[in-house]
Amino acid sequence: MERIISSEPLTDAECRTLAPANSRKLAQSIAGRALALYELASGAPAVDAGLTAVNPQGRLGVDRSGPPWGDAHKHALLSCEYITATANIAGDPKFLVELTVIDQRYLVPMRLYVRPFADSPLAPYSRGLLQVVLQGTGAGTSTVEITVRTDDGVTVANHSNLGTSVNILAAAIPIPLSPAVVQTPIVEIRLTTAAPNGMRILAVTLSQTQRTSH
Amino acid sequence: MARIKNLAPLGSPPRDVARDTSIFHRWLKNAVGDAALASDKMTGLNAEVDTINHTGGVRGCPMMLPPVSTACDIDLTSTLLKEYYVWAAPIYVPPSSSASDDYVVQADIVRNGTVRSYSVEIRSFASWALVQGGELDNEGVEETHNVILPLAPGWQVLLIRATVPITAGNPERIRGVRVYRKGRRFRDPNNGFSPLSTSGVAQVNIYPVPATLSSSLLTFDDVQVEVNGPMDGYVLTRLNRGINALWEYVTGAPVLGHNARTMPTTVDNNTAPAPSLAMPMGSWGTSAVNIDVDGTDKVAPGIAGFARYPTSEFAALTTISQVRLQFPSFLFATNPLRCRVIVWQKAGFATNWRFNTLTAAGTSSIVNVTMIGASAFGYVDIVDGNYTSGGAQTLSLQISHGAVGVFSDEIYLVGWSVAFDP
Repeated sequence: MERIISSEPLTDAECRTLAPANSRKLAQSIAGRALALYELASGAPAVDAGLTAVNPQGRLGVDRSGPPWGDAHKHALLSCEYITATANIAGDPKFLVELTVIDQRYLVPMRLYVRPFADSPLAPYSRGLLQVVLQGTGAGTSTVEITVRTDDGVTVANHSNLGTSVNILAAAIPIPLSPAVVQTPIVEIRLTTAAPNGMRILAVTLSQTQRTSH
Repeated sequence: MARIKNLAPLGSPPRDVARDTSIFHRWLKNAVGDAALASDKMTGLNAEVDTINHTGGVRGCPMMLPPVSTACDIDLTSTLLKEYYVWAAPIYVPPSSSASDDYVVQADIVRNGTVRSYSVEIRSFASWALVQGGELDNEGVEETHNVILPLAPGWQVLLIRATVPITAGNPERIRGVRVYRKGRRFRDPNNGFSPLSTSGVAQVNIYPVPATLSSSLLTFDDVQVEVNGPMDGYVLTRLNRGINALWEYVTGAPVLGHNARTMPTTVDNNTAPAPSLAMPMGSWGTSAVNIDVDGTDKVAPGIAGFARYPTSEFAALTTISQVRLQFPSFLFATNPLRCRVIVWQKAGFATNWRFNTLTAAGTSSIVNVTMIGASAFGYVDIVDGNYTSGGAQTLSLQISHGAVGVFSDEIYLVGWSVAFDP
């Protein structure tokens, strides 16, 4: 059965008691938006057929992939585990790589699937934020250069580590993302200073962190 | 007075809004009831049962968050040409309105720039029984292989099998594992952003939106929408504003005609009684590389990258694995984090070992290993409310020993996983 659907709001003036009663305007907005909101929330057709536009998955309803399909729900896009050296744990300590020689480079194995989202210049999901967990392998200060290469250009971040403390490079290094495909962002880490020791790349995390609308 | 709320969406036919049609109560009452229904489903208020938890059906579109998305760099070279479990971990498949949904399993096993084949097993968490598996036989194709499996909701164990080569100095490596729900992007001009006003242009707030969405905004009773009743500006204005607020809350987008949202927050399931969301956070395979598939050679000689506990006494908590994760903004009191761990014992007494999780916000309770059926595998199920909503933080898995006297039982951390599993 056909039903009214609308996204058009009303001004306060149009809702006043003595305002001109325009059925098309009033009822279309009030009835149409209430029904649209049910369908967007539930993801199921409000009546016989879906009335609202489909989301980036091709389904009805908000899927929390960014406005107007709900908030861009925070989650980790890619993560890896790591173990710092512990005397009580046998086996190899787990980390991605240990850089020991200046100019030694490591291409981070980043292959990830990004769920569907509506890609536009304002889409909150269009960028993932990279964090790198690092640890010096001895006394002194060592430095790495992290280079992210994308179609939009090259982003370079430098990070120094003093001694063997575990450091998290929390600076927001944005990486452009594409929806619903497996992609391989190019993230290269190069040891630039070893004084006298190198640096371990313990882990990387790529996260979707933008929660609300643009 | 009873609050008007439809049991199912009703809407109104277009003839009710033709120009010069009488403005009568039918569409108004239906709209009030539809708005109240949508609001209660999103917020969980007014004792709504079928709230929106994104499990499909009428309970919200699935969110398509991947159960596994991990990177690693593990050398798989052995001195025995055998098939091993090269990666294994618990995985959490979120609830669904279907008995199962199709998921894509991908493992990046490479050697000399060539992608290597592998096969997949799904085993029961309760009994270790083989639930299903998919075989691959397309070695040499230079792209990532896919195994597509129907996975039922809940906790299960994913194991990836591969024949590990003997070749020294030319190692095979596992560089990542992904599991995600099969789908594709649907390209439709309507599923992008609604046209918005130019950002930065001063704009009069012509379509008022309340600062917060409250249940009272959309509470009306019959007398306010009765047949032949007056068209009350109070009812219409309040209803219009309530729908505006609900629009921002549901969509995260401004009401059409505005260049920014008025309400500071949208739905994010962090306010009781909003429904708790199920959400996989990730799975990591730690030391599966040392277990062969037929159980003959428990430890693959030469395979590196595993972590285990030595044959000595440790009652103290020792960190055995860590991850850095982005957390959602859930209210942790009502939706605690769940951590599942799979271990393998070399010989006996695995249940003396115990695990806990740790974040900067605190430590979980300590849970002993439970063996899975008659297998050599055991599991731990930890519930942890100690995390900080909304930020990136480090989660540590710790191991300790609960019994004194018998410490010859090495234990292998096979893999672990965390999820919100309300």
